[in-house]
Amino acid sequence: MRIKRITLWRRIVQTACFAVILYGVFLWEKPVATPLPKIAPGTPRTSLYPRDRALWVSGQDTVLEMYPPTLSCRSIAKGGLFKACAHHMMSENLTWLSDPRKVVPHLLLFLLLSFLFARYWCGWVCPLGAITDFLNGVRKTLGIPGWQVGPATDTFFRGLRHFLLWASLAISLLIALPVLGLKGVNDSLFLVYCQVCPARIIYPVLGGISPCLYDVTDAMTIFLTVLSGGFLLFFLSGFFVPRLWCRVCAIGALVSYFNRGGAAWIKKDPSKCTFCGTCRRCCPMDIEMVYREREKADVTDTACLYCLRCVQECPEQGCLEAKLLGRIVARS
Amino acid sequence: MDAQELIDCLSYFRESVTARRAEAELVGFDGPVVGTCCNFVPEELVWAVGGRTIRLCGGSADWEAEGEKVMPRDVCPVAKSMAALPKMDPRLWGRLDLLVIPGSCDAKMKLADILRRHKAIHVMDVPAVKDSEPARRYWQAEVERLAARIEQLVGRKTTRHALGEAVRLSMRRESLLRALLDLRHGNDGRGALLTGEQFQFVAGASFADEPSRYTDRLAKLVAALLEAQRAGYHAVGPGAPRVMLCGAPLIYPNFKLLNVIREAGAVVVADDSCAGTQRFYQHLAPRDWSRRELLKALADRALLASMCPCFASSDDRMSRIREMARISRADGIVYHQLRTCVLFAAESEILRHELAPAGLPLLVVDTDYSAGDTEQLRTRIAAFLEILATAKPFAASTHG
Repeated sequence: MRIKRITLWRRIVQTACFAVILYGVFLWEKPVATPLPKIAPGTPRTSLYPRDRALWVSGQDTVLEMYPPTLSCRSIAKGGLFKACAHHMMSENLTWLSDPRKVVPHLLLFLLLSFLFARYWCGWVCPLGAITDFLNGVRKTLGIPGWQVGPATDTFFRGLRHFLLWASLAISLLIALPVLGLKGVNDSLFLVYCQVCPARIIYPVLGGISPCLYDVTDAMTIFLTVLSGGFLLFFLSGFFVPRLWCRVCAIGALVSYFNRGGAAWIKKDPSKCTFCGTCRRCCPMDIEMVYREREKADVTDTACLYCLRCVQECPEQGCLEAKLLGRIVARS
Repeated sequence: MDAQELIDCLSYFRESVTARRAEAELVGFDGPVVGTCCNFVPEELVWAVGGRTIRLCGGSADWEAEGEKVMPRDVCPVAKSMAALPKMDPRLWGRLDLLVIPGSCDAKMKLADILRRHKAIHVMDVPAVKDSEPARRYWQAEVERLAARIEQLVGRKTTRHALGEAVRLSMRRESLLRALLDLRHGNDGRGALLTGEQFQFVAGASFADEPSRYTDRLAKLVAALLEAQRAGYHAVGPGAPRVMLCGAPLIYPNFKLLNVIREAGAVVVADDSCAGTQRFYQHLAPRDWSRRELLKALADRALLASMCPCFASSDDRMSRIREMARISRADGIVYHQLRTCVLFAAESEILRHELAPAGLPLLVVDTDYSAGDTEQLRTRIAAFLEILATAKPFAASTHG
């Protein structure tokens, strides 16, 4: 099957990002200095949870001391190119109650990168996104029918990703407060989202180290083990549904706030639209807005990953276009 | 440029239609032959099982008169002339294994009911609202039902590979049509590259022709036209008034309106007819190549971007007509209203209101298959072209 131009470019970028983010540390052995401050935990961790022994031993000597708004992970073998994802940075600094002066430069960089590229990070950079694209691509090649996510499920996923984001950030702060008897960095809820994120299990395997698959120390770790197993299965179901994990991903939710109001837009000229529904059918996130819009020019959905497939597939000349920093990057 | 090549390309389509070549061929064809009567029927389902399709809409006044013996007098001539098929072409009628009729209007629905007594008929239920989710799912189920009926006809399942091949062929045909439409407008300012009649023959030949042969011929035509365009060729001079033809389909031999427009010195640069541009313009793009998604894509293709007036809302159709007029730089619109069709008549009124602010002149022609009003048409078209000549500067500025 012929791969069209935009998709071909995206595949190239995805593959390059996948290689660099997961294996960059093998290329650049020495850490590259960045002007960003290094943040260390305020309280040293003395936890004896198995997961802590297996993981977070890595992430000591990453190439770049920074936290991009995409699923670069602390659990990448030998630390990876980046320290961790932006959500990890926010969670651990909430728990550490870090000095704001050290955190603010990282937050500003996060804001800048998210403002500039919004969920282009998801569609073009994220290694986990590349894996789910690959899984779904295998299914398509084999001609196995996929599953259709209905409107009600879609609405549920849209809510769930914001819930996962804010609940995990709230827990990160709560365990650090001297209430409820929680133990901060040594609590089983430390970095709770990371513990259930599929990247924590998949990335180490890809780097040739064993992830901690289960932790049966207490009721909470058992619960988190079950939850992470469930999320892993959910991620793997991306074989049947394009970008399934991306629909509930908390990091995606974090970046999605920049989809409307940032520098990235999808624009439509409704007078040129024949309402053939191609944009909706080809959309990996099952976005309907691009198809439905009959008046306004702005059709940027918060779920949009900017894979630009709608722009690529639209048969009507000039009907859809993708704008980045005021410049047209793709046009139907 | 090899002018002869272009002439040969065009005459293939013309002769296919006028000599009913494919119809004769179908009588001797040894696979399943399925008759359809409009674009709502996904022909790819039949191609996938090695069958051939023929769209049976009629345009002949003789056939219409014959059809009146079985259909009421006051229904649409397209349906009436179709009802005459058993009488007028008994060999083709006898060869049909199945007739698929979408119930897009009362005339089609009752036509199916009348023919049911003599032939295996499959009726597809077209929803009245096309942009609602339940309607879309219902129509997808209708297409699945048709697929099952065709599988039953040949006694085996359609493989996704066979269906995929048919869909690929259809996608190629569509992209060639889009290339042809770009050329037809002649937007380089040197005049249109096809007359309205020539284009109508190209679209009309697809009714019954073997699809891959047809597609190859279409590719040849596009290549020949591209070459001709480079050599400075145009079918009609740049000074000719440019007319967009809207409304009811013109089916051979009912080319009365096309002839009158041509003889008055104007050129049809665009049309929204289901027997013309809309014959296979609607975009086909499956999400993946599984059988289910192929069927869904075929269903969506037929329904979502359809310009049939049978839907409750004409909003999409109106916006599409405005856009087509803009792209083709039409000076005015001639609306073909086929007498007794309520749907097209109602939409001509809506179009009149829609076009008023744009300042695009509109002529509504209410006619039928008889040749009796040809002279009257000639007078009206001539008067309309005079209006265009005076209104042209204004029209050019509104959609320049």
